[in-house]
Amino acid sequence: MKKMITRILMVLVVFCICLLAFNLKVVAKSEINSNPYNTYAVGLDGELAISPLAYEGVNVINIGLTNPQDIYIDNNDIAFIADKGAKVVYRYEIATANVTTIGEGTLSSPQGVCTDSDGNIFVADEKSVYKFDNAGTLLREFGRPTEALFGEDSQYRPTKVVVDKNGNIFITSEGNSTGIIQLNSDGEFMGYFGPNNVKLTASLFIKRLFLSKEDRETYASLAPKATTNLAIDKKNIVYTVIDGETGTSLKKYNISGTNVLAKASFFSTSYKDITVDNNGFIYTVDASSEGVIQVMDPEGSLLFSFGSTKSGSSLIGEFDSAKGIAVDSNFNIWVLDGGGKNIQVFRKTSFASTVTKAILAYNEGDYEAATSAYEEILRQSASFVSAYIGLGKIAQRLEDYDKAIEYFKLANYKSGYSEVYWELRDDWFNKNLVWMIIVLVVLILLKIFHVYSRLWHLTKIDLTKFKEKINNSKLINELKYLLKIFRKPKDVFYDIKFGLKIRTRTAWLLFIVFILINIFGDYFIRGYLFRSTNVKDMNFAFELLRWGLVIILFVIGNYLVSTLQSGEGFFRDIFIGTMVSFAPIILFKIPVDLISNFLTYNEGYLYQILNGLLWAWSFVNLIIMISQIHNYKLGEFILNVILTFVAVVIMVLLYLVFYILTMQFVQFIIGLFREGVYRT
Amino acid sequence: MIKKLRIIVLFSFVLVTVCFLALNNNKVKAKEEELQDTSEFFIDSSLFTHMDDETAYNQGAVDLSDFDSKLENSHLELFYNKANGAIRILNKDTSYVWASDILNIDDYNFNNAVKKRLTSAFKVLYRNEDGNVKDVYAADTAAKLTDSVSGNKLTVNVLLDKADIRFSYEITLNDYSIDVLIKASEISETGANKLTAITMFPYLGAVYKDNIPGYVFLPSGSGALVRYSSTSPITSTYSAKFYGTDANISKNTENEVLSLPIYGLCHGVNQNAMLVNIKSGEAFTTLTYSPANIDQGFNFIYTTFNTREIYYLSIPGSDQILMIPENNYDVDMEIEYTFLSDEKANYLGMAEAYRNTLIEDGILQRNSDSNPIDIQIEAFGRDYEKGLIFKKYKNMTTTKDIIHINEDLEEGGVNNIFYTLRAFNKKGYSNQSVKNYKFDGKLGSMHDLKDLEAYFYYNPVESYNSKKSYPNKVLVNLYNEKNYIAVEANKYKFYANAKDVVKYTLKAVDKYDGRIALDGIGYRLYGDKNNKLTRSEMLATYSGLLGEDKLPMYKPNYYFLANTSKYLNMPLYSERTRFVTDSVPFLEILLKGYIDYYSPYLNFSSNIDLDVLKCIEYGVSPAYLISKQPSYLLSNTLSSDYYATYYDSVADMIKEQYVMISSVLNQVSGATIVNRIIPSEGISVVDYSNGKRIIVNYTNNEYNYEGLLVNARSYKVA
Repeated sequence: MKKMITRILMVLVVFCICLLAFNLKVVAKSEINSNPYNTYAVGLDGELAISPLAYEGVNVINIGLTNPQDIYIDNNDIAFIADKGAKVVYRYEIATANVTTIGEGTLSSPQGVCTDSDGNIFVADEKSVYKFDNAGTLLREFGRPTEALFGEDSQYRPTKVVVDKNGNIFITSEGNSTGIIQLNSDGEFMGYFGPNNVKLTASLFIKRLFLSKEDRETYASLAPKATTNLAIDKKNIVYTVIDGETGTSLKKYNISGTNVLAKASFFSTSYKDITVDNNGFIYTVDASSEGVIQVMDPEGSLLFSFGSTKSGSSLIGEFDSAKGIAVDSNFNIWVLDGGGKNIQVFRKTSFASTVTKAILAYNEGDYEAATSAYEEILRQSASFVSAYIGLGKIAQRLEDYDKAIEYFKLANYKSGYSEVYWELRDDWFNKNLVWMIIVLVVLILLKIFHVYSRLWHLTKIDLTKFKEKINNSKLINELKYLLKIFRKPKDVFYDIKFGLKIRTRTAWLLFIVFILINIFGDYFIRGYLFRSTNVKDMNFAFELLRWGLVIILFVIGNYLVSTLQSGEGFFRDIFIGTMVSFAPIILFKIPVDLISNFLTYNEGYLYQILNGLLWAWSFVNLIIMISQIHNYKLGEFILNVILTFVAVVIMVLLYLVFYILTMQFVQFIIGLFREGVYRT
Repeated sequence: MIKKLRIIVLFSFVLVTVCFLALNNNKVKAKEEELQDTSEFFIDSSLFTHMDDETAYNQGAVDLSDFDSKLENSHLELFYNKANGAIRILNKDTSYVWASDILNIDDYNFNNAVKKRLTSAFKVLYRNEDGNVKDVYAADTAAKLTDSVSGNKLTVNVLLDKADIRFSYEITLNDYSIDVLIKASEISETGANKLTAITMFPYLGAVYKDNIPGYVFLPSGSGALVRYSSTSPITSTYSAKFYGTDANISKNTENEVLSLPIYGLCHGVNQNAMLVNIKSGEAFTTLTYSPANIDQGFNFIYTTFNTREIYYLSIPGSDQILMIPENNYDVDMEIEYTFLSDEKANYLGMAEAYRNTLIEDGILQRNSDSNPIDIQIEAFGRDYEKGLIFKKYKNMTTTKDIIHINEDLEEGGVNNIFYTLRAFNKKGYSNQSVKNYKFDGKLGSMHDLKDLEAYFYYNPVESYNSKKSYPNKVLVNLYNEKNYIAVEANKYKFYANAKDVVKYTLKAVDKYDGRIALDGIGYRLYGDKNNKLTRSEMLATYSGLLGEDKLPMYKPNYYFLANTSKYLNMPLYSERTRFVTDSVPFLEILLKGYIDYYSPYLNFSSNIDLDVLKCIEYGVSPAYLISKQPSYLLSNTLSSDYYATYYDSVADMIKEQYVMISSVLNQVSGATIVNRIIPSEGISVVDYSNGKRIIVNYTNNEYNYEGLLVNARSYKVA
């Protein structure tokens, strides 16, 4: 039985993992722009959107590669290609297309290549890093470091190598997850640079829980991943990529070895190579199906991604398996296709040139040039979000806040919006504070002198009948009674149980109101800055389920458990009690959401606290409700809560099992039918 | 005192740092600006035509001892080899011999199996009883060939012994061409084996490495050349179906489209060339190009006629099942090889020869009106985004807006505009479907635009949805699945079923009385299993569908050219295939002076200066896709890739570009292109039938052509 349950759980976990893994991206190209392949940029909703062509594939170079692994282009526009299959490094002069080889007979499995500022060539081979001079003569070999600090069991199988201006050598090694091996120019081990780490996330935890021991190390290892590839810019800043990592798969280290890039959602999980150009722009290749090449600005924000993985393709911009990337002095991108055994060269279109121009001009503070470049970008692509942000930032600098906030809103750039909104609110207060105080004082004075009640008497409206009607309405009285929960919650639950003070139909009404308030609050009323939801992505049915189903499941689960646990509450009591417990949400969520409209991120904590308070209060009410309605002691109560949770989980699991089995059955019937039809 | 000194020191330090940083920044800036100025328009790439290698090629003496002369006229003589069916054609005008086998094959040291393969007249594929692929070459002992001559016709009967398959082909000798015909009725299968493909003369015109200067021509995009070379950027052969893949068979693929059923070979530019025209069966024909690095060092190109379509049906929980249809397609296969010599032996000559064929067939008619050129303005109507319960419509352009835009453009010097109204169908663009050709009343009516030349945009083939499931009228493919293509996250494209496409296209054309621009139908050709229509039957239906009507068409394939009044979205480049070395304006040369053609939407161009120059060189009228409202309003709709339509930001550009392009093209309006040469890399010289000459300089340096100075990135008319 236990085995059976474990198996079902395994199937469910695998099923969920599969659902995530097969979420494939975009395939067909846009027909409007007649581009050879799609280019993506960050769009207005923060997700990738089709953008104008940024790089045009201009050349495909075939120099008879066998199993190429890495490409590097030095300052003199000479490309070096490490070919593991041919056991050499090719030296390709871009200007003349002249090809020579380096390391013939020395290298056994070259996987990485780079040069230092003197033009010496460093090659990462399987057991050593070799240093050749410009002409290809072997100068020295950097074998496994002998220093104790390196670690006795540490692996030394160099895959990639870079050298900084001072001659320090940075080496990535297969199977060595301690960090990047750093040697000085004499080959002495200086220590590990930029170690990676692992965060125990919930999904990792669950995976580890259900996977077998062997699978655990392959699929959910707690050891950090080894750095896949690295690059160094002219300021000696090291950049790394980690294949198979999520969130922090791309890193830019400052001199002390800390990552300065924030997590970004578009970072790939299958990076293969990285390079940096003279302006600090970052270029990567990965193994994704769409957007193989990414181009980022120096801050690591994505500008473009293009290219796709497709085996056996004969089109430019499609790769069998892109392995390496390099940029020459004219900012052309060279992509090494390992499977296709060729190199594809891409050149900036005038659109991409405008984008670079805008960013460089902005960084230099040349706002006039930046503005005209950004406007030209928007002429060509209205969904290019960084142009709106750029224009917004310029407007902000020039203190044109109205314009800035408009751009930030369009770009959905909330931190900028928050800053500008703060300024605008400040201005507004400065302008209107005097008036507001005067109005307030006048209103208070009027109250003091009973002006309101006198005015009321003058109108001669008789409300006694109306009041009477309200007092007689059962519903109104029930709702009024609800307010008591803020003062004496225990009494309320007691009355629900024994006094039948609230009818079930009123609870249903509350149930509906609860759902609607949550949906409307989240999507429409909450302040723009605090809204994490978008009507475009809203699934109304899902929202209904999200708010409604949880409550229903909780009530059913609790009822089932407490009947076994000799609880005293009826189903009806639990349901009404649950709904009444949520009174703080029902009454105050909308006002709190309204307040959030006037807050910026500076006062964001205020909103968080208020919101948290409402939910905490509701949960306290729920706790009281359970103990009161079932008349539980502390021990019973705790057991009840745990069992209720388990019951809910089991209900969900049963549903899933039922669903999967039904789907299997349906598939089986379809298969049977098809086979019957086509075989005969 | 010391305090002051400190301040001075500090101040000067700051000053020096600031100066240093500023200078450094300038360097970076200088670099970037330099790039802007010196970067060239991809001139070295396949987006341009390169200079021809005009070295004379001398074939030497050709040994015809194994061959018998079978057919002859005053221009050509056909030789036939009984042993392997190989043919050689002597072009008497140039004394050049075209061989379907390899000349002097003994020089290469091939083994017998390779020799047999390279000299065979045909290759046949079939499936045996177990479903395994088998091949037979003409030179195999299993193939028994018998030939007979009557008049100008050579008939070869083929019996494939063990395969129990028979077929025959007829070679007819015409003035400058030979015609190869395999009749479907002559194919017979007497055993259990099923014929699947026939390739005729695969090595006809094969070139060893770069031994012969010249190229292969492909009808890809505007036209593509592949110059002979000893290596290639691809490591497997290139195959493509004419008119693209059949959506009824291939799932989720949209390959590049070869819009004309032709290809060409040039052996020695301006010496010898051959144009190959697949006159029948092209809907089931695959074009294959094999570069020198794949098969024994030969560059060669051929077509394969697929006599039936083999596919795999996957069944959940079991292996895939091989499906072999019982009957062959009931379509004849006919290929015409036209031989061109001397100054006609190049892609221009091929275009001219093909144009003559189209004129003879009544597909093209000369249109020598020298009216000023017009401009296509496509207006985007409306689309919707998701709301809480109801859809939120974004009305981007109404008919009133178009009238205002028209006034504005006319004021700016843009006249002769014709409008196409995209997304004016009921309930917005995402709602388009084969049945939805009604004008959306919220945007006005066709009547509002009676004073303008306006066409309703209708795409009967494609429809979009945010889900993979689509109600009905959608093509169900061979695998019994609704065929869709994922365009973007939450955007799926569907094809309508073939029967409805035909039915509703006729209705729509009737409803708008010809004021309709047809998209999709012109370049998507597919069969429909459920309606029992093969691709070839669809082709036949399409070519007679519109009768004598001529409509604006988006990228029409060969079979719709006769019904095309305006060719829209004319490609300016070849498809970016890796092995292609040059783009040539083949389509433009073919159609100039016959059908007016319009560029892709220039406001969506990433290299606008380059594309405008290309329009001038190729005689392409400009086209723009615009909307009255800003494009970002569409960002939450399924039409988010319409990101550059905002009229206010492109209006000036349209006016400026129209004035520039029309000032040149008006001078050659109604004329045909008679010559085009590349005197230097990045320079094009195009001659027109009215004596005008357009010189375009794509380089960053001025160029002196025969005493005429053409500025950098500019043009001259002479």
